[in-house]
This record gives sequence, C-alpha cells and structure tokens, in this order.
Amino acid sequence: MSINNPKWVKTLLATIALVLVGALALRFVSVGSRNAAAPSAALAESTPVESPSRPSRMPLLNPNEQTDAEAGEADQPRIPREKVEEFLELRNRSAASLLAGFHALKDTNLLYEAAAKFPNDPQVQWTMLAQPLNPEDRREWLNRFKESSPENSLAYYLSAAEHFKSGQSDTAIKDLLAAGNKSQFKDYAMAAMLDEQELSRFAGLTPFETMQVNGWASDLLGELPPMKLVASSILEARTQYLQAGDPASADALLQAGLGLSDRLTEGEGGRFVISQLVGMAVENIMLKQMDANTRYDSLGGKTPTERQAELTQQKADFRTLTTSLTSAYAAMSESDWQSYSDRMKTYGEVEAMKWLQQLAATRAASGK
Amino acid sequence: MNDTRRIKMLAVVAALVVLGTLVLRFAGSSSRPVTSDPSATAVTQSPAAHSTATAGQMPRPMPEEPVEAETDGEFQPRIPREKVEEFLQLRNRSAPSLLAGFHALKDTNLLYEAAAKFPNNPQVQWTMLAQQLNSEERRKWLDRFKQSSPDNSLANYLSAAEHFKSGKSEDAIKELLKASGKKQFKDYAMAAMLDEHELSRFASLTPMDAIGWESSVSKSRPLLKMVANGIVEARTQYLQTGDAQSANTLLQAGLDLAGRVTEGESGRFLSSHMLGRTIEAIMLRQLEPDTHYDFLGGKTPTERLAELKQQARDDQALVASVRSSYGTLAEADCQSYYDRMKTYGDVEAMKWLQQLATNRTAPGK
Repeated sequence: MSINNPKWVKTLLATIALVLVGALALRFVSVGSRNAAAPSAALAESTPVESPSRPSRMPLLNPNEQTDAEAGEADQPRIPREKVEEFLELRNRSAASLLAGFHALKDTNLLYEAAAKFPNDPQVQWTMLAQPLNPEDRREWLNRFKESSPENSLAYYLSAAEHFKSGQSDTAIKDLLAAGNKSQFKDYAMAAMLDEQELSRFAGLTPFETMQVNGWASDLLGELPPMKLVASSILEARTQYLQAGDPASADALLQAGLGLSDRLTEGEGGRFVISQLVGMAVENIMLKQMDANTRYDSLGGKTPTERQAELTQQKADFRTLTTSLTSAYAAMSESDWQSYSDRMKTYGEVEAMKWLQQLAATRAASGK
Repeated sequence: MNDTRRIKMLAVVAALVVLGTLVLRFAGSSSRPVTSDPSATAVTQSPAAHSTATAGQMPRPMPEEPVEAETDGEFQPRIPREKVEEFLQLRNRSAPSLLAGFHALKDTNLLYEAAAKFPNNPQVQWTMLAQQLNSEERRKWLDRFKQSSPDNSLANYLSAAEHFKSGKSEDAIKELLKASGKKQFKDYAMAAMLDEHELSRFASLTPMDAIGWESSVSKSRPLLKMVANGIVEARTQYLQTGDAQSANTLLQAGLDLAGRVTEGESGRFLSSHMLGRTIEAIMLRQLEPDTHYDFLGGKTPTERLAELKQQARDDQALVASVRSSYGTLAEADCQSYYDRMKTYGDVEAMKWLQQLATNRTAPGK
C-alpha cells in the first residue's frame, strides 16, 4: 500500500476523523457532566450561526450571498454550490433538500429559507432548535415543535430545558412530566444524515465520500446539551421538593430523569454513540440522588451502586470498542464501509462497530 | 442507464409487483382459520433431518462433496457460485456469510453447513425454523432458539405455533403467556437482507439483486398467523367451559402479538404490517362488535376493523402510486430509497419515493 494511493490517504483521514469524533464525543460528555448548568455555551461558541429571526419576519436572503457562517470557514464544502442549487431545483426546494444544502454548505440562508417556507415541518423545527436562538425565538420554535409533534416527547424535553434555563421551574416540570407520558422520542439526526448523503450522491461523491459527510452532526450536538440541562435542573427541583417535605414529587422527578436517560439510550434516540453517552451521564446524575445500597424496582432490582458500576463498565466497553477499531477502519474496503453504514442505519452505531470488530476478527482468523 | 441496468430494474420491478401481489393475497386470505395441516405441503426431504447433529458434526456433505441443492427448478442465481465461494473464504465461512450464500444461491448445503457449525447462533436458528422441518427437528431448533435468546418473545411464539399444530394447546398457551411477558421481539429478516446485500456488493451487484432473503421471511410469517388461529380455537374452548377470564387473557396475548409484529425491527417491512393487521383482525372478530373497549383506546371492534381496512387500503394505494417510480430510479435515488428502507422501513421509504416523484412532476421539472 503506497502513501501515494489516494484511497489509502482517504482511509487514513477517515480513521483520524472517526477517532477525533469519538474522542470529542467522550470529552463532550465529560465536560457536560461538569458544566451542566450552562451546557450550550461551548456549543454556541463553536457554532457561529447568527440567530435567525422569526420566519414571518424573515427576509429571503440571496442564496449566493456569503453568510457569516461561511466567512472564515476553514474547511471548504465538499459539494460545489452550483451542484447544491441543481439538487434544490430538482427537489423543488423541499424542506429536506434545503436542510441538506444548509448542512453541506453551512449556508444559513438555506436554513432560513426552509424556516420561512416550512415553519410547521418538524424536521425544520428541530434543526432551528439546534441553532443558538434568542429566548423569544426559541420559545416560538419550541411551541411550533410541540404543536406539530404532540406525541414526540423530545419537543417537551427541549421545552422543559428552556423553561429551566429561564427559571420557570414549575412550567418546566409540567413539560417534563408530559414528556414522560409520551411514547415517542424522535429526533431528526438520522433524517438529516440521509438527506445530506442523498445530496452527496447526487453531486457525484463516491460512496466512501458520501459516508464521511457530517454537516448534519452539528444539529445532533445541538440537541444534547438541553438534555443535560434538564438532568441537572431536575436535581435542583428535587432538592426543593425534599426541603418542602414532598418526597413523592421528588421521586416522580427522579423517575422522569431516569425516563429521559432511557430515551437517549434505547430505540431511535440511542442510535448514535454520543446520545448513548449523554443518556448514561443523565442516568448517573439520577443514581447519585438515590440511596446507594437500596434495591429499586425501577433499576431492575439493582442498587444504584451496582448500576453505576454497570455504566462505568459500559463506558469502558465503548472506549475499548473504539480503540480496537482503529486498525480495522484502515483495512476497510469501500464495500465494507457501505455495509458498516447499512448497519449503522439499521441498528445504530454501536451494533455497526461490533459488526466491524467481528469482521476484523474474522479476517485476522482467516489471514486475509 | 445502460441496457443491463434497465433489465435489472425491470426484473426488480417485476419481483416487487409479484411480491406485493403475494403479500396482498396472503393478507387477504389470512382471516380464514388454518384448517389443514400446513406441514402437508412440506418438502419430504427435511433439511433438519440432517441437522440432528450436535455442534461440530456435518449434517450434510460439505460443498466439496456437493449434493443436488434444493432449489426451485427455474431458479437462476444472480451471483456466480465462484464469487459466493470467494466471499465465504474472505468471511472465514462465518454464519452470516453462509446464510447470505444460501439465500443468494438457494443452496441448502450452505444452510446445513451453517446449521452444523453454528447451531447456537440465533440467526441460523431463525433461518432453520423458516424451512420445512419435521416435528422432531423443529422442536429441537425451537428449543435451541429459546435457549440462545431467552429474552426474545419470537422464540416463544414460534414454539407456541408448533404446540398448537401438534394439538398441545396447554403447552402452547404457556409459551404464549411467557412471550407476552417479554419485551423483545426480534426476527432476523433485516439481518438476512443486510448480509445478502453485502454479498451482492462484493459480487459487484446492487442491493436490488439480493432478494433471496425474502423467502425466509415469507416462510416464517405464516407461523405467527398459526398462533393467532390457535388462540381463537383455545379461546372458544375456554368460553365453552365458562372460563371467560382465561379467554380474555388469550385475546390480549393475541393483540400483543399483533402489536409486536408491527413494531420495532420487524415492523420495518410492509409485509409485517399486513400480518399484524391480519392477526389483530382475527382477534377483533372474537369481540362484541359494538362494545367500546379500553384496550382498543375506547373504540369498538367495528371501528377498529374499519381503521385496519383503511390502513390496508392506504398501503395498497401507496404501493400502486410508487410502482411506476421504481423503474425510473437513478442509481443514487435507488441507494437513497434503500437507506430509508433500512432506517425507517418500507412504508416511509415508499412515502419518500412518492414525494420524490411529486417533486419531479412539479411545474417546470
């Protein structure tokens, strides 16, 4: 294998990128747990997107005009703007295509266009809520999200986070308890990924390059800090209930926190490793509030100490899995990447990584 | 698009149409109770007859001593055997690779090899249970499936089907109640599809060329319908003996089964939704049609049946509306379709395709 071989170089770059993402994810979770009171500050700094106005007042900017987001952008978009425009026309400037264009070019004009044209589309709403917004705009988008997706608990968790942030604990708790009664927890990270990959394929990127696009990931990173904020705020509210002699309400809050943790680690909410790590961090926060050596039905009969040990082990397993795959990534063919991607879409990142680990072991055993 | 690609597309469209027709027919006939023994149509040469071996024993001659594969007469594999063998070697003849080879070539030797080498692998067990087996062999594989997957209710449902079939209603009911107490319902249809897609890519073909896995799915689904019919018979007996409570418990178990089939991983397939509706309809017909039930969200069975009929009509309309789009899909769109199918399931992927067609036919396109 030669260093001049572009495929080798691409694979190496992809490996480095994946390791960096993994490291960032783990760091994000660690930092988040130390700094739960102001989780969005770091993200806001790293996402220099101008806070958009409400769509009703929003001027449709010239799509070709360079935005603040693009100015000073270090990495160039992988897809030429004219290809994105061609795709948008082909897709009739649909909400999904505009969001894909926004993620690919980091052009907030496309996001604002989607927001103005499709203010009732839940994917647009979720994407808007992943951006730094002023409190008034955020509340408006939260209300829209709750209205468009009354069965989606995520809308209520995000709303609770905003209420906690603005000191409206009572209203936040109402949203939190409402979230607990809803069966669905749906974010749009996977949809955003699929849309951006679709645009990439249209633009002629190879399957390998298509799998590396990650403009969508910033939205997922925008969703998670409010979840940590909810967890830390639950603690404060719970303390107040206990001080007021209301242990039943305090326990209900604790259960709501454990419920949030489940949403982030299971089902659609748990398809990405970073969501699972945040879910585990949320659970850990809740466990610390419980009697360490008492067995709880809500923990499957385990004690918080036992459950914490399990979480520590799971986190260590994630690290081991990530580390063990570093060499496997480099040996993957384009076809293997597609299979990996298929499994990620079907079962989530962790299962895909386990599949890759198995593949590497199989190859090692067969000497291939 | 070149001619070869066009021919492939047409072949896939034809396959989808045939599959859709079969599924719709299956769903339409499913409300009739199974009165005949499904094993009556069984292939006389049961593959499991060769898999009585324990781990490590070869139940059938290995590929180097090939026997005539149990394939359909006119079946022409899309992947050359030598490519499959190359893939198997690369994958160290792992369980998923052997199953992918079996599905691609319909060569039961590969299935038997997987069964002999990996008898404790749940995906192998599920695939074996989708084949025609004699009662003794089926029970053996069921016990293995239950043992390897103690949290998977599907193992208990399949076991219940077998007990119902052999007239052991009490054992079947025990399995049913165990199944209802379990959270998980996992079949291996999606895994089988992904493995065959992987083999297809290795052979430089597209996912559209990988359709062998569907046979395992279509063979395993009727077993769950058999459970529903068994429930109805057992429920009738309970009612005749005046045990209304047990009769109701059984009905709830049937409704649970309908729900599980349409949720989670299994629910990504349109055929699962049809099966789930069929099972639910069987249960609903046992209830007072105009009574409001809490477990139906306060609706009457008549109202709920109307909803199910509407859902079936919606699915049919969706299939019909996107049928013409399949043939005109660019390769990139085809990939996007499959991505959505893997992520959200058939129905969402078809809705995406419907939307895509709408965008394209918008003025100016």
